[in-house]
Amino acid sequence: MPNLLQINYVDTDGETATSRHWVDETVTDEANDPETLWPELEAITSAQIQNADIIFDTELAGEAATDGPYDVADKAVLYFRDSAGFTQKLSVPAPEASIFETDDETVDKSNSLVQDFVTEVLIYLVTRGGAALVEFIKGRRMRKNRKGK
Amino acid sequence: MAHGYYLYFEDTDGDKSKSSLWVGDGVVAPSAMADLITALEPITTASVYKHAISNVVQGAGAAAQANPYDVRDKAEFRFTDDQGNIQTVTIPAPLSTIFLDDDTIDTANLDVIDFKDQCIAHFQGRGGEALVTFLGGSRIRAPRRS
Repeated sequence: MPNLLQINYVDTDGETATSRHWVDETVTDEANDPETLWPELEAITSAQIQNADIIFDTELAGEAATDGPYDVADKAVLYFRDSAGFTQKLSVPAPEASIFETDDETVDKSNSLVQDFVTEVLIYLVTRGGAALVEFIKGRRMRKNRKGK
Repeated sequence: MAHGYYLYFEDTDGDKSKSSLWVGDGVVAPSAMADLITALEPITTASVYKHAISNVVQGAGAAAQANPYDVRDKAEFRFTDDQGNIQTVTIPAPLSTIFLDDDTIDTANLDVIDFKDQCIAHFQGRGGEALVTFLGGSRIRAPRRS
């Protein structure tokens, strides 16, 4: 399936716009030279081409969804501290009931599944500015709506 | 700079949700996130059916130019694809010089010809259909500057 190329523009008033295009699945990052388009694009637009994003997605053939008390409108919201000392949060939709304490609200920090996930989060995820996440603080369930209630 | 990272979830009711996250510079392909997915699946009842990385491409050097049309105006280029369907490519703030009459794209304009050739070479339909024939185009008129 093609990847999505989002080109971001700004005009002389500082107003911005984005055009969206589908490109070949082999075009995944700057190494594939998507910017070879820029000269022909610059010749027909008065806006500056600020940058572009290639949204490179992959379908997963993982586990099927299972029934549980919480659907995707419910989230386990996990709070982390970053290397600059700020709090960052991450939401997991449709959380497993077993990751909460008996109050059904508080994420159980001693749960091994939670610990495994937190370990991977601390390895891979960063803030928008690139700061590392360094500590899991707490987690709680945000109730949007419950099935059957 | 960090890259955007997106996780897509679907529950047993078919309802979907997306989480938007950030990953470090070194991660340029979703496949690099396999360990995170493995650790995520046991804590959600939803299927994690897709994930995506957003890779940034640097922009062009030319500054914005004064022009009658700003980014709220668009030039819409229309193509047929290899399935016979119509595909459109829309570009903000089109230069006034590419139009015949302020509304119709001049298909004989050399810059238009070069750009439509690039569209056919680089762009596809959402389902991967190849763009085949340029049909022409027009300006989509947005509210003008006062």
